Amino acid sequence: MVHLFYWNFHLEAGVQTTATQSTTLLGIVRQIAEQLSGEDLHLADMSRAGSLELDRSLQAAATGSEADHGEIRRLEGAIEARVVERHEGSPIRYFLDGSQMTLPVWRVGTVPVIAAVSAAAILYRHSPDDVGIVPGTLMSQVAWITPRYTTHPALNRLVAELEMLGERIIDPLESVHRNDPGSYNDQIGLYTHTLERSYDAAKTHREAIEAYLLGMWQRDVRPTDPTGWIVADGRLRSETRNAIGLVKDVQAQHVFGDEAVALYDLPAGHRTTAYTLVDEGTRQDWDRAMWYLRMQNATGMDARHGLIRLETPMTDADLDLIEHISSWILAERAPRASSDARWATLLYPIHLLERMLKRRIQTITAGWPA
Amino acid sequence: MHDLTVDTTAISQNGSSGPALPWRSELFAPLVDATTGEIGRVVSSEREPSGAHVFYFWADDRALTLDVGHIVVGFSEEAAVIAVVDQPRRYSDMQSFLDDYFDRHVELGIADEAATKRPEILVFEAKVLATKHRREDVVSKRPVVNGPVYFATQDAIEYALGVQNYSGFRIPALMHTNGNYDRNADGIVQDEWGRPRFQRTPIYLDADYLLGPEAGHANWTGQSGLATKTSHALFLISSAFQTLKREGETVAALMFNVKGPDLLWLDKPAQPIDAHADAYRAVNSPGLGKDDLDAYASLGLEPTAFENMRIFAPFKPGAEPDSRGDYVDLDTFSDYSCLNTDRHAPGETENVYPILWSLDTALYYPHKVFSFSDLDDKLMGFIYELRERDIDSIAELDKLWKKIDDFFDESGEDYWEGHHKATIRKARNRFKGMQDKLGGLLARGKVRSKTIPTPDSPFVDQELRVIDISQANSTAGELLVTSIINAVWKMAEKSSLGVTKLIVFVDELNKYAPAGGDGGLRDTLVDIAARGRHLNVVLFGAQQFRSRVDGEILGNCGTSLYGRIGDEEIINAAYRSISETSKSELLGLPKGRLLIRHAHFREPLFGTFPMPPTIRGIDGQRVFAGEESGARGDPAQLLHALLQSLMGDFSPSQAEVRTHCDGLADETIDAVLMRIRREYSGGTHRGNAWKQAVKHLNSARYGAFDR
Repeated sequence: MVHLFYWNFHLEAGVQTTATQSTTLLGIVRQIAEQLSGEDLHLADMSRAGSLELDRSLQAAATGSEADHGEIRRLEGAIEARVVERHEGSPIRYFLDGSQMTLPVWRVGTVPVIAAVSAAAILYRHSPDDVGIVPGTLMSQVAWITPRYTTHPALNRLVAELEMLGERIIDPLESVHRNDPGSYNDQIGLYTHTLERSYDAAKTHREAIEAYLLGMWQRDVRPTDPTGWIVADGRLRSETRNAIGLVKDVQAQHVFGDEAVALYDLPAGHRTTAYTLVDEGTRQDWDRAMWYLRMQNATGMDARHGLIRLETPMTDADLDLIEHISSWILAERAPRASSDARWATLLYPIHLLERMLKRRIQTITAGWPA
Repeated sequence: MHDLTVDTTAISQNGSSGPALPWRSELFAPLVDATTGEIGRVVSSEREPSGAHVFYFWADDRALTLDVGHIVVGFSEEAAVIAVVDQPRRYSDMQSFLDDYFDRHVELGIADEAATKRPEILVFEAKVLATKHRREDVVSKRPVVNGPVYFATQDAIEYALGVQNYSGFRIPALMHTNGNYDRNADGIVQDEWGRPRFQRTPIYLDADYLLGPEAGHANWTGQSGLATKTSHALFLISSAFQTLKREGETVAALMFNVKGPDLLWLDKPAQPIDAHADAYRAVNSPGLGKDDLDAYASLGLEPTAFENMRIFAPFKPGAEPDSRGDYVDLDTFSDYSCLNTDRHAPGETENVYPILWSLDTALYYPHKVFSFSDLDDKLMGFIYELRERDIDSIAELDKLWKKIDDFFDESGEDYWEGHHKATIRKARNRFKGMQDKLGGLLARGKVRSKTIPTPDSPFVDQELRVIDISQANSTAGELLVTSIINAVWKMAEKSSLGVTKLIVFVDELNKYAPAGGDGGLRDTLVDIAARGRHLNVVLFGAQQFRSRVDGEILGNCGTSLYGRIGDEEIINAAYRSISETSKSELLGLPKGRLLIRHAHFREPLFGTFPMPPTIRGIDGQRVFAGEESGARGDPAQLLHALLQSLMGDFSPSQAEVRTHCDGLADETIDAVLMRIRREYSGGTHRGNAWKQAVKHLNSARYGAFDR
């Protein structure tokens, strides 16, 4: 049986728990279409547009992408290569990841109405062949992303209907409406801009779910397994003990000059010395230690091939631990997730989790034209 | 379009609304082993969709007993789909073998375990045996839906095999073993070694399709030496005997013993009586185990030997009885050591009979007697001349040679009755070695007998008739098989078999009915295969190479069984209907396990059978024919029993009989016994049988007894 979890978890904004009658996106859309069928509303169908994840221009424009950074504080001296010694007995027993599919559904005038289907979960690994989802951590949901403060009667009617059905609605221009209401309507008239902001909102929403799950792990799981560590796919967004953020698509360049050369020359099985971002504290009340690790041999490949960045809260970042974490992550190179193009930087348990999450998303989007 | 999805409450759980789940339906509950629980889940994909006859399911990691040949149940929307498990395949998401190689070189040693084990999934192909729709009047072929898979119960397996549609009696043939455990009120049943016993279900054959008239015949294929083909044929014949007896029908079987003492002790049980237990143990034949006995009980059969068995054998070459005048009187036969059979031990010959032919019988099979190159028109013409002249013995023929010689001497002509003297010379030359060629089968004189039965006489109910050709030369052996089967077939055509059903078991069928061959017995066997089921004769054939047997015979066979088959043989077209997995299984099939196809089965099934109900031939030979064996029949006791049957209350006591037999060799007492039996069963004597026996015993004591 298919279950949908509609905002049934705590966010910092508060608690919101709703339910819906239908179990698939197609069912929800049909339900809404049926409700609005007697009204003279012009909703342009965009159901065959395909997911926004496939739109390269949106990917490039996404504001969530890492920015290069100017100043770092070196924790182990100059940034240079260090060989990673093997350390047995990895305590990494949990893996966190999320997946999303962002689907345009309607267009009302210049305003796109987007359905963001997200799923996230924590995978446990008690032994090499005892792997599964931590009970209660698999979350999947549909959120509707569209401006909600317009004067467009059709859009407002649609939003009202979605709310009546208990659907979660996110305004991609919420901050604009809050900080600069005057330009809100101007930006709504920019179709591509609204689409980009919608994609950003969907991604932020999924990251919020992941952050929630990491909090859940810290609160509910870690006390039962205090020596266990968790690897979260992507940047580490909260100060969680025994957590490792793994950025597998290294875009931001934090080091320059000879240190950058040392980074891109990093041999397989080596790491860089660790550092932290100097002004990180201005944006959050905790510090991350981070370093790079070459997972696979990059000979003949792009300089970033097999290169990942690891992050851990500074509270955990004594030098021995950095060495150990690097060793634990290197031990995850086998088996390789060779069915995924990102295999060189993708840990196999995260690959497994992604497959499970994508199956869940496919269940929700079953029958969707795109 | 109208909604046709009506009336699903019958299969919805507890009458609840919402989609009905067939696997939770009370209707199908008797078909699934819910105690063991779900063992896998049906999967269909674009590449391998579920169909009417095949589907795929992945096996639960805990379903460790699930394997090829087991029977499982999946579900379509309104039906339970029962299928036999076929090809297993284990999948992982590894793209290439090289991935593991690189893993091992980057991070791991060959024996190391990775931090995360790559998940593997075991997917089985399942071939549909039957679909049971919730409505009895609906024949459903709808493929299974993705859902749970269970082990099939005995009820489900019987339904899948179509037992409910059998028009004839159910004849137990094999035992199917499933992957779920056998349970009773006390829990899981243990086998004789204390291990959990798997669920066993009898595989029944429809008598109408095994013994006719709807279909008929059975065929066994498999390598020699595994004691599977003949053992199972014996088991099935015993099963048919017991079933038909229970149902009040008469049946008999005719078999040819082609190797050693294989079929010579079928009247002796595998399970020894108390008095014989030591003798059985001494030859390492301890009898049936608990599992075998349980299997017999489950199949509703008794592990009893064939009580009414008759063995026929020709004489040893050169040991044929002498003629008295022009005749050989077989009624005087009593020396069983002259017979070319291993069954001649005193006390064990009461059901053994000689076969002896006169020349006229042999002349009906010139193609078998003479080599093909010799049989030109001229020689055939001369043989017809002999038949027209009623030359029925070698002695008569010798007289004719003399007469012909005289004719040529006196007349100086080159032709006698239209036959050139060269032809006659050639015929004489060929006939001269005939008695040697038919070693032990051909008498010099005309054979006559009033009391000795012949192997081609009508049968009696529950009779197992064995023709022992194991020691006869190939010409004599083939002649016997050909002549007896032809005679039986003629009896069948005249409805004079004496029984309702006759089973003819022919081993080495590829020799008697080779693919692409022709000739006497092949034609008869093809005829039996084509029409036998209507005339109450069914052919049970066995061979090592099915591909070398006439296709018409195999095509008419309603039941086929396959034992272990060699790799050179299994690539032949004769096995094309068997799945690749089953073929691979057949290459290494253990003793006692067979693959069976039957007219009612949509897919072949693997099954086992218990040890045959009779002692192994080689063991029987050692137990019942050994000089030192305490199990051998006691001739004095047998003589007493015979006298009792002839004289009733007037018979002497056993002690009296023993006193008169004392000091005589077993062979001598046995010969007296046979003489008495012959004299009184043939009606030549009506006086006091005991007095006659005493007379013979006394004569023997003083060396005057003429056997």
